[in-house]
Order: sequence, then C-alpha cells, then structure tokens
Amino acid sequence: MPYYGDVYDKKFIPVMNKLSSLVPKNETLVSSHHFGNMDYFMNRSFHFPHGVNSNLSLLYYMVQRNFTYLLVFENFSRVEDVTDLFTMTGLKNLKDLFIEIGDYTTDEYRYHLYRIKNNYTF
Amino acid sequence: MLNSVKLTKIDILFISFLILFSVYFYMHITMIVNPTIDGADYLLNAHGWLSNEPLYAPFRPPLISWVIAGIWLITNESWIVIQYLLPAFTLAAGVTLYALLRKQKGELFAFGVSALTLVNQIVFFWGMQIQTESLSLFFLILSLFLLKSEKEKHWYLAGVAIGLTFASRYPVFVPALTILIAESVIQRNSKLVKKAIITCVPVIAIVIISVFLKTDAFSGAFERDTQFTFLLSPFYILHSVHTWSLVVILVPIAFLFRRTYSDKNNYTYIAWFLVSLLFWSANTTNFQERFMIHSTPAVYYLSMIAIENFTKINISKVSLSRVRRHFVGKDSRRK
Repeated sequence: MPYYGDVYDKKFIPVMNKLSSLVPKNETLVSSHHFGNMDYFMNRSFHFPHGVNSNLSLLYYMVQRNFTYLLVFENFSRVEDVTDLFTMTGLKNLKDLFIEIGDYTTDEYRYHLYRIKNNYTF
Repeated sequence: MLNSVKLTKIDILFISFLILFSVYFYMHITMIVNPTIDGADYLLNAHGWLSNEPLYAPFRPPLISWVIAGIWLITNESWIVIQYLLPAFTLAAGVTLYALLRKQKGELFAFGVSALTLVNQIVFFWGMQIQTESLSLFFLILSLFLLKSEKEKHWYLAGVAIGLTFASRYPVFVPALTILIAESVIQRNSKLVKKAIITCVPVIAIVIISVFLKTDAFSGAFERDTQFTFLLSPFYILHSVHTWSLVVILVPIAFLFRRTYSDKNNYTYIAWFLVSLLFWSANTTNFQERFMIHSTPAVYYLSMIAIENFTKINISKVSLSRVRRHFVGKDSRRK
C-alpha cells in the first residue's frame, strides 16, 4: 500500500513551518526523502543525493553542487545508498561534518536539519 | 423541471439521510489537518497553472487542479478552502446516483444503492480528501445519467461528462467508455455514441493539448503503473469484503438469477463492474482498494438486484396455502 501521509497528524504543518523558517528561501535541501506535502508547506525545493555511500561523499556531493542544507528522516530513506548514514547510529557520525540546526518530530517521522559545518572546498 | 417531480416518502427519507450524512461527513472533514501527498501534488499543480511556474507533478490529471485554481481565483491560495469545497463532489455523486436510479428502478432501490455507496468506508475516506476520486466518480455517474436521458441534446453533454472523467482521473475513462458502449448496444442507438463522441473527443483533446503546452509532454501515469498482464491478480476479489462490506456477497448471487439478464438496463452495470474489475486486476504492480471506488455504485446496484430478485421469487399459491394451513390452521383448531 503506498504511503499517502497522515492526514490527522497535527504536528506536521507546524514542523514544516519551523523547518522552512530555518532555511533561507531559494536554498535547495538535500534530503533522503520528501513528499509533495513537504514541498507545499515548506516552499523549498528538494534534491536526492544519488550515488552517495559515506558521510564524506555526501559532503563532497553537496559542496560540489553548492548545497548547504541537509534534511534527514531518521531511519528512513528513499535513496538506498544512504540508508545506513541516516540510522540513529549513522547520524552520530554526521556531526563531524554537519551542524544540527533543527530536530523535530511528527507522529510518524523524526526530522533532523543540518548545515554544512565549515566552508569546505574540494 | 423540479415542479414536475412529486416527492414521495422515500424521497423525503433520502433527503433526510443526505442532510444527516453531510453533517457527519463534514464533521470528519474538520478532523483533517493535512492534505494527502497526492493532494499536495494537485495543490502545487494548481499553483503551477495559475503562475508561469512548471507543473510540480505533470503526470497528474489536470481537472482537479483547474478546479482548485478556479476557486483560488476567487479566494486566496488556501488548501483549507479546497479541503471543504472538493468533498461536495462526493455528495453530488450520491445525489446524481439517486436521481439516475429513481427514474430507472424506483425510489427504494435508488435509496439503497446511493446510501450504500455514500457510507462505503473507502468512498467515505477518499471522498473527504483533496483527491480525484470524488470528482471522477461524480462525472462517471453523471455520464450515465445523461446517457439515460431521452433528450438527444443530453447525449452531447454525456460526451462532455465522459471527457471530464478522463480529465479528472485518466483510468476512469475506461468504465466511462464501457458505459457508453453498453448503453448504445442496449438502446440499439448508434446516434448516442456519435453524439457523445462529438463532444467527448474535443474535451479530451483540450486536456491533452493543455498539458502538452504547459509541460512539453503528456504522460498519464508513472511508467511502472502502465504495465498490464493477462494473468489477473486476485487482489480485488480477496479484498472485496473489506472494500464493499459483506453486501458484496450478493453480487455473485445476482448473477444466478435468470431475471438479472432479462432486464437490459442491468447489462450496463454488469459491464461497468466486470470491466473495472478486469482492468485493475490486469495491472502488474499497483493494487489499491481505492481504485474500486468507481465500480462501487455498480457493485451495490447488482447487490440490490439480488435482493429484488429474492423478493420476486414466485411461490405458487398451492405451496403458500400449505404454509398457511400449517401455521394458521393449527392455531385455529386449538381455539
């Protein structure tokens, strides 16, 4: 059965509003997953990190494309390669390269919002 | 036109049911705090149609987004307004179904089918959402309502309604086309098809051209959802009780009665139900109970046919008198 979103989740829209307030307009979020209702309420564009399999390659991927923000669904990813990076243990390692600027929970997901730590160049 | 319709007790009962149902329906709508994911796609597409921005989900049928965009031209771009206005199509579908069957089968039959359709849990849930289900169900029933009309100009409108089923939800064009073919065969009226096609084709053309001009392509669905096979899936049979409740058990019983086949009108509903079931069962990957929403009126129609047939079973006078003698006779002797 495909996922249609929880239409009764009262936390969803407030969380989306909080997340979008932390990301400047015109910024694209790199995310392991996103739904149409996230696009609608956050009013930001999303980008899937294909071909990434480690924290460093994720950072490289983002810097190369001039992306600064990373939105993670804890323990959940549409892109198989990055599933391990976004498990509870995987997220601990992200802290070496990213600063966590938001951590919000809805009835279904826990969202972590990160920004690249320093001005990396490759 | 309304002056010529005399309201019967059952009509009043149906109106009362509809009012109570609408209150209950809208009470549930107040509990919805987010649009579905598909619903958000339609909202984003509506924004795309109103602005110069590209469509967010270009493979989605456009009519619902056009309706949303039309409402937003009057109001502000709020999803909540849409959340309350769009489910009205579910109620409109119920009313149209009642009007259609009232003429054809009488008030009680019409009440049974319409009420069962509206209270069906799948119709109820998806009919509340910003989804294409309610919109396409309405146009599908409207198509049949207009095809049943004796006025020839209504057949042109039937063509428009069939075209709008396509615009509201592409696959619902299949049962709409089935209904058109079945009705033309039953009525032995080729004019019906011709007149419907005259208006249906331009509507479909407008939809395709509009989407093409906006997106430089026309795609009706995800590629993975367009794969079909002759090896039919039993999914919808296995989930039939969950989809339509225990009432669905009456459908195969309806097929056992010779009387079911003697009324030509029944063939439209039989074709409608079977073609929808076969079409969705032939898909290779995508099976969802909500796809059966559009065959729900046909399912309940056939269930009511089974009940109607039961009530018309001929019990001979001899056997009736024997029964009476058995029960009444004994009591009177005792007295």
